[in-house]
Amino acid sequence: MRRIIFSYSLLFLLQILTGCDSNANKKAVKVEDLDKIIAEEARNAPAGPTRNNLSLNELINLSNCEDALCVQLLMKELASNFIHAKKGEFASLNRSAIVDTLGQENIIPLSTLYFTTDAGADWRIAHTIHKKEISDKLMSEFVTKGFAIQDSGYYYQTKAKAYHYTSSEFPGKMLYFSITFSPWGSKGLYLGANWTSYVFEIKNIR
Amino acid sequence: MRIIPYVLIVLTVGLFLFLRKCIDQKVEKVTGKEIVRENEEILGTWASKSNAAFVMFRLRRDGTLNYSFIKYPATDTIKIIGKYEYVFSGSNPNYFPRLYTISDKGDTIFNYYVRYITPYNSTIDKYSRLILSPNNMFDTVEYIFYRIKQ
Repeated sequence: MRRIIFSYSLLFLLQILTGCDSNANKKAVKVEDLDKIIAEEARNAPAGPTRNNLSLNELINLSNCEDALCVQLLMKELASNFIHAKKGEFASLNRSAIVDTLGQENIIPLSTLYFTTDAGADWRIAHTIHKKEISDKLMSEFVTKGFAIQDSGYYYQTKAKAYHYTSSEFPGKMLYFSITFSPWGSKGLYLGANWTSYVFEIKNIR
Repeated sequence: MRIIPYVLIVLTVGLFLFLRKCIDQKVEKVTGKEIVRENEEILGTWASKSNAAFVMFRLRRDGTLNYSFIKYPATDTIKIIGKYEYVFSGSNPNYFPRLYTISDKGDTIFNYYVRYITPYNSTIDKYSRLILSPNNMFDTVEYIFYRIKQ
């Protein structure tokens, strides 16, 4: 009996000693040290995705693909920057606030790559950028490589005017560039989209 | 008769947990600080600071919330009292638990996913962190909060 009383007394004492002890509270910081700690943590943080969009060469390589397997194989190399969200949909891991026509901020991927997955539909690969600055940068990359405007016309896929660019450096390739609210019908991210999208598509011309 | 030692062990563990809870509640009442235990990591005071603003909020055990906000360069502190809810999303890994904070007037202060919270016995994190995210697992926008000493 004494032994039991002794054990329970010990347990109670232990309880008192550990009463205020909490591992989570031990890792708390002082408000005045917050600046220092945020800077320290930022220095030690692992590197995140570095790119917002695909490059000209990557788009040219993708334009040679004729099926989903080929696109997925090429995009696998870019997995640190682009995530395979759903079948036929890749999205950049870098996201930002994009302002729509209502003036609301939507936090969405800075760019996407969509390709056809519907049976019987025309084969199409489109790289859509959601910020003008990034689109301008990619367009200047095309211009540097000799792409010049050849023609323009209504493009039913984006329900907008598309500008056609060609370059002697890339024979058989034509860039379709359109600014639209409907980059890919009503699929995935673009179901009810009401922000400006900049669509880059490389077509194979014969 | 063989069952008695096992019953005693269960009773002892139960008594230990019960007493600990009682002592925690008493200590919390006296000191006004949350004693955070395992699976209660969300409780306590969290703060974050950037060049634009300072945000601090306290999540109490009874579900009440104290929220403070300073938008620089002004130094006035906006203080809101309200309540919060920590909601688990089930087994779908695409969705993290959510933290809803609502002012006493019924306005939503924020409604974010809890992307990460430093586990109770973590040996990896030097500081206790809470990462909130407006979207699900594909999101890269995140707000990092640190546990503040109360």
